[in-house]
Amino acid sequence: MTSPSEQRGTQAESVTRLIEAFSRLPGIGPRSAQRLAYHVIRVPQEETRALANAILSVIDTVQFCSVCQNVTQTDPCPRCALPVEDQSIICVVEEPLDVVAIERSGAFRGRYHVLHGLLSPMDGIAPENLRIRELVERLRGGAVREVIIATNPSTEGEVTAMYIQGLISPLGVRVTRLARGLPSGSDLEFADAVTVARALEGRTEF
Amino acid sequence: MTSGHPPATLPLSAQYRADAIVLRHRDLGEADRILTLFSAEHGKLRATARGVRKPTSRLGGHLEPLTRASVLITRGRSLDVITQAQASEMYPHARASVITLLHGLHMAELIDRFTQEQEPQRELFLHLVDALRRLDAGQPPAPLARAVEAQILGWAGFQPVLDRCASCGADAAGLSGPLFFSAQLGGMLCGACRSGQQAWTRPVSRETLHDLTALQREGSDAAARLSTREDAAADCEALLRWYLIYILEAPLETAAVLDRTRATLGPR
Repeated sequence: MTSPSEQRGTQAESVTRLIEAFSRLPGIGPRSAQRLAYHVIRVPQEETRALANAILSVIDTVQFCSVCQNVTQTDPCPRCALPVEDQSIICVVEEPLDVVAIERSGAFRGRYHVLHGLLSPMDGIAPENLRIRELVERLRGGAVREVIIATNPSTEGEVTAMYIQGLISPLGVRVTRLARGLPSGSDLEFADAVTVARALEGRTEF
Repeated sequence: MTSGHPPATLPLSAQYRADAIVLRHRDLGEADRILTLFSAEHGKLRATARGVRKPTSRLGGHLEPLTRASVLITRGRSLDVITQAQASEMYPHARASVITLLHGLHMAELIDRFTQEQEPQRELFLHLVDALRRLDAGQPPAPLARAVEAQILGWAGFQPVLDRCASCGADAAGLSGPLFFSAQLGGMLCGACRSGQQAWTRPVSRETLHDLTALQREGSDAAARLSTREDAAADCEALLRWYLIYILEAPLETAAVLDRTRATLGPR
């Protein structure tokens, strides 16, 4: 389908295609896509080529680690290939960016497992759409004694956490969940009842 | 769809309030969400909640699906924006088990699928609140889901005919032999009329007809008195789901996930 500006001959077809490609990216609307496309045209060619090459390189080199399912250039990923401090703990997260967030804390020394999504029943995302089967396979080896479920404290995160807990508890693995309570820098008065209740339940010695 | 024009049921002011249950949400951009709300005053609404996925958001915990909240909404150009939210009922016990939570989400999906935006449906809103309260109080989730399904069918004008044959009108009490249910005719069929109705027809037990009648008449109050036999409960569930799918002309997503979860984890 040709755009109105293309029909009038004011916009090259390749530019329209680029705008359409940008507008498919998450969080990019048609206006932003247009701005990005014209930015790409304006900047020196070598910058644009570097961007295009970086995208192509990702397609060619990135794969999923066969152990933790995180994105990696080598299989198994460096984290799974090297002996870590505690191999008996697996932290289960929704997506690769959550691994980055937990690594930023510097507080976890075990291994990860990336689900690549959360159970979202209304959207038709079922257990078989996630990397849950791979997690169960990892646990069958018997070397893992604890699984920390670090899915988001949202409804989908809760459904996923409870599903995994039901699935792996019979394997004799300790299942824990990230603590839920008041976030740093927030106001108690704006917290919802469940968060306050959880914060009270999870209170610690001071 | 919410349009930029003030809908007939909403006040013309720049802001309005609603007592609403969050039916579902969808991520938008980096930290926003689009929420589908079912409100007592304005029916189904769609609005954005900005920054709601950030840990320090003042809205976040108040706007999870299956939360009843008092919300202040500002009219926006394309979508309205939730500016304040205070949860009034969060049903924490209903969230404590994956099976119960999935039943609650199934109820929310049904409301979402059957209702149109900005058409006030106070009675249906109160039915949903009642079902969620009972779920939270520990009542078995499956019969409550059946009650919500039956209530939605009645409310939407698809209440099945159960006391007589939907084709010839013969009184159910006087019929012997196997009975059937026709989705096309919207009710029970006697054996004689069944031969002319092959598509979307299935056998139905008298026990299921009895349970469906109780659900139609008494809603959630009947949930505790439904047949407890496993096969009868499964038959009632299968028939209602099958009829809902016929009406919606689409699968029930949450129910499908619920079935697979029960098959894997057991009916807890």
